[in-house]
Amino acid sequence: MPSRRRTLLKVIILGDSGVGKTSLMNQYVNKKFSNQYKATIGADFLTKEVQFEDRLFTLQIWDTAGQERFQSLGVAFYRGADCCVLVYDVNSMKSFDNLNNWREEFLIQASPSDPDNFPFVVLGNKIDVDGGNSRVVSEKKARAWCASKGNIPYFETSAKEGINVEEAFQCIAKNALKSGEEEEIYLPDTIDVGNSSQPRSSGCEC
Amino acid sequence: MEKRRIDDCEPGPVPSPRPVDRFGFVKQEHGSPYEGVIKSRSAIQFEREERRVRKWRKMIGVGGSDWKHYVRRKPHVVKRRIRKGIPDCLRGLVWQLISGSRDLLLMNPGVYEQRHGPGQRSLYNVLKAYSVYDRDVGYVQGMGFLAGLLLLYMSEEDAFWLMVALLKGAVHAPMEGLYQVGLPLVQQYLFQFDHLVKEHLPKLGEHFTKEMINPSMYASQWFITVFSYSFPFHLALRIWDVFLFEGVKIVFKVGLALLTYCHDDLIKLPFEKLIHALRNFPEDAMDPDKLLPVAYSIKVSKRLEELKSLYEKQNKKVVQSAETNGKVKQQDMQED
Repeated sequence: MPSRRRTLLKVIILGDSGVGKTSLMNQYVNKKFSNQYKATIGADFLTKEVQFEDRLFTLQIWDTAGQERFQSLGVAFYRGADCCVLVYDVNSMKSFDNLNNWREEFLIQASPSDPDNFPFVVLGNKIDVDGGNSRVVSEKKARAWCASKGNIPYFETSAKEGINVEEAFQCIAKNALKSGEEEEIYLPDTIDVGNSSQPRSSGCEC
Repeated sequence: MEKRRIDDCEPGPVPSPRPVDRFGFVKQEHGSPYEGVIKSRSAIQFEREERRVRKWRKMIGVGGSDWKHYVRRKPHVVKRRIRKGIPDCLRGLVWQLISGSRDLLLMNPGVYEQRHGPGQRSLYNVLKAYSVYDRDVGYVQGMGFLAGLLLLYMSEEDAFWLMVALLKGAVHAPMEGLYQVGLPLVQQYLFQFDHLVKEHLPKLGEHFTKEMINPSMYASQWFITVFSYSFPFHLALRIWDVFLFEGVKIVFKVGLALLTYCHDDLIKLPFEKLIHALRNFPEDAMDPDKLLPVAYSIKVSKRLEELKSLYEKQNKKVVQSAETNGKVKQQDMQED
């Protein structure tokens, strides 16, 4: 098959229960936010078309249940992911401390071909809560952790207010695309995401 | 939260600023097909429902006193009537009778009171009480949907005991494996369901395989919450009527019925659309009077037993090797 076009990018969202994984996905895909909390059971899934240069891609976003008990169900979805999004709540230290577990669990279960360079993106969500007064994880601390894990791009978001959500997912999509390219050598070499004309978002190293 | 009274058969019109359906839920702006059913309820239908309630009352007896006797004498009548749907005004009581939770409560007076604090919200109370009652299982997301449904029809204490009856297996096989570490029962049910799909709907099964769709992507919440997670309330209730009396096989039957009902559409869809369709069934497919007869006509009991044995046989090896690993780890730790 000559230069098969890669059109599907698979992204998986992980993080503790209640940090806002589903809300981030809903804000990005549907531009909607609900204050009502409904725990995700099993996994949920949404898609969005994204454009880079002149090409269209389908971003396939897998949202998972945050409670540890459900991990045995989630692992089935880890395989074949092109990017993994780790989410924590800036108002919860525990959710931040657990990022390491989520990252390691993902690398074990998804077993990507090049684990050291597999693209992650970290999102510190709920920056809107209480005008930032209930915040317990500083931006500095979060960035330091991201730097220590191979310069993971970092965004501070509010799914509720729609702050930085679009920018974060742009970066996620770009990273997913990059990881796909490295794996699949039959890609046409006409796409050059490195020189993307999109405005660079803060913290995204792509 | 307002509690339903079991004997309250004809609730008077409740003044509400927003229109609500017969269950008290605020109506969605877009009309559901169920709305039409309510509007077209004629006097004849009302009388028919009244007659039905009278039959049910006779079957139950005062406070459930005749129930066991009736079930022993005429189990098929009971089964048939439950499959048609339990009258809403008797649902709470009947659920407690058929789940065996009534007996548990009577045998364990005072147990529930010891486990919940005053002044807290009902749902929290029931879930907290359960997590304390069974520390091995604890609280698992998904239980809340069960407890929430039960609390619409009974008190906290009754809901707690019904949870105990279900999870510990008072009448049917225990459900606690749905919530234990590793979700062992979910894994088993998904294995069984996967086989049943391939056997009952071979063409669709083949299509799923080709598109890399497996039941863990759409059916785990059906089992974990017994359809109370994302299905219309009136359908969930009808499924629960049968579930409490006949057990988990109704979940398999309804699942297969949904796939059967939508078979011709599903078989054309590629992965993306398929996974969406399997989480968003069309409204007519979720009409209990259309879906449930299809479900009742699907026979699964015998095959479920066989597939369970097959699963256990296949899994035995895995479990054994995991146990060996566990022992090695323990020894390592002791040596450290």
